[in-house]
Amino acid sequence: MSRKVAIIGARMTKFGNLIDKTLMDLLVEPSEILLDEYKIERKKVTSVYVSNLLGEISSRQTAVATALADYLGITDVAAERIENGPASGASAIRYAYMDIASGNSDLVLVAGAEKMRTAPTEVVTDLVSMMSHPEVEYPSGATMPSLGALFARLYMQKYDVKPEHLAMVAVKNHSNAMKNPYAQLKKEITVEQLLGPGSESFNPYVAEPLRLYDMSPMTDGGAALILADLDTALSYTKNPVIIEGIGESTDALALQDREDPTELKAVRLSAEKAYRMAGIKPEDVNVAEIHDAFTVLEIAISEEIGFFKRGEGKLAVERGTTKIDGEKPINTSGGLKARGHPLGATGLAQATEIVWQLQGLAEQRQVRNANIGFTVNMGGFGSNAVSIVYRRY
Amino acid sequence: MKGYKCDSCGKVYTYKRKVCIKCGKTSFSEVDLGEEARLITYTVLYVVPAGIERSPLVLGIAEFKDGARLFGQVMTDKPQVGMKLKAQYGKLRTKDGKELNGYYFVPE
Repeated sequence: MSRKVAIIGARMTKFGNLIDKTLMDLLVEPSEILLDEYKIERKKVTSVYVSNLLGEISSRQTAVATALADYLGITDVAAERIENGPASGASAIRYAYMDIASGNSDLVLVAGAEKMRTAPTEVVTDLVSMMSHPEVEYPSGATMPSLGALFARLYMQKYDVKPEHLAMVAVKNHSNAMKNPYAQLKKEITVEQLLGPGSESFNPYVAEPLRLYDMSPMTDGGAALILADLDTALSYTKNPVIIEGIGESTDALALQDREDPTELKAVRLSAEKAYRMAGIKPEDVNVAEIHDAFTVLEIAISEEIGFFKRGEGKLAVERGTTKIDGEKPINTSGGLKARGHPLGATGLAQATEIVWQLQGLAEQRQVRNANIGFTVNMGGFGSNAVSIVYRRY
Repeated sequence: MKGYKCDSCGKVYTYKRKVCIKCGKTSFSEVDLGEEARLITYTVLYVVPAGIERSPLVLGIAEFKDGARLFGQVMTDKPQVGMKLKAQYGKLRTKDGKELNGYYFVPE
């Protein structure tokens, strides 16, 4: 029988253009705050996992988990870097979960960070595109936005999704980010600004049919969580968050090779696994952070994870169902779109928002009676996904 | 255009694979996909990665007969879903100073 795994707490840095912060700063700061706040002795930590993609190039650094342990004064632990594309953060939580559930480790620090604003845009764009298929996508110049755009055109055509629906997602997530002191984009926007007369200069096309405000930004940022078996967690806090289920799935690496390129099968299957493990249904979820690297993904993913029927995600956006005060709040933090998307930190930032929601710490973004939370973090463009179900203790 | 058809489930690929992603079997036969493909989705990309000279860059997925799909650059300023394309082989980009070659599309 595996042990119950709980999150003691979660913290993140402000996301944005953090030119003065190093990769180590972004890992150390949220980790130290957590260790100090919960009065956790360094020697009690048994494993350190770090999620990060671009350390070699952004910061000329590898083996960052060992570096983090050293900076924090933690020794004699398992320290490993986890890389799973933009789902590295959720994967790091999965490693921590397995480590604790198996009885191998009692107290695990998980931290993730990315520095994306140092190198020029075309260089970072190229680095990020290295997760595409090395033979059939990368050589032609595939980028994540281009794959998102190919998906968007097919999906929007099939389900009659209009640019207005995508714009409504951006408006909602920007509005949520206004209430989040840690978010990168602090700017209220309107559908009229995004699509009305003169919008071509305010909101230019990046990868048709997707425009600038359909994209998550380039972000520097870090986030950290401390996990433990439930007994240990309760010795530090009365308010832990239980991890009830984790599911991961993959699909064909290249978009062209998927049976139906309008589906995000890895997302659907990862969510089904997580729900099954938790013994819940999608309708039981009170608050969710989902991988809106592009606005269209928030709508498509909300269907794949069973919140809405296929083709009806757009109606939920129209009706305001996914707003903070709606029936099914999605991306209360602002999402990848407006909180920001520092690749290696994103999965942990998603978890942080859900932990805060379930601990009642989400302030102006607090969803009432939040009991069960959910995150899905996508690695690659739909080729990998990690879903997690959380429950308030 | 050469295709590779899985002997077990019949899925057709536009590139050589060792294992079929659909059924997991490992035996393929070469098939002729003809010259013509139809564009099923495209994007005009305004932010191109380092190593790509064209900007904006038109990228798309085209379908040959038997449902074999191929992703690639489309050499047109006026892409349209459904347009007929031919695949050609040549230089696509540079990476670390080296040329990368592969298929791209030209309008028929």
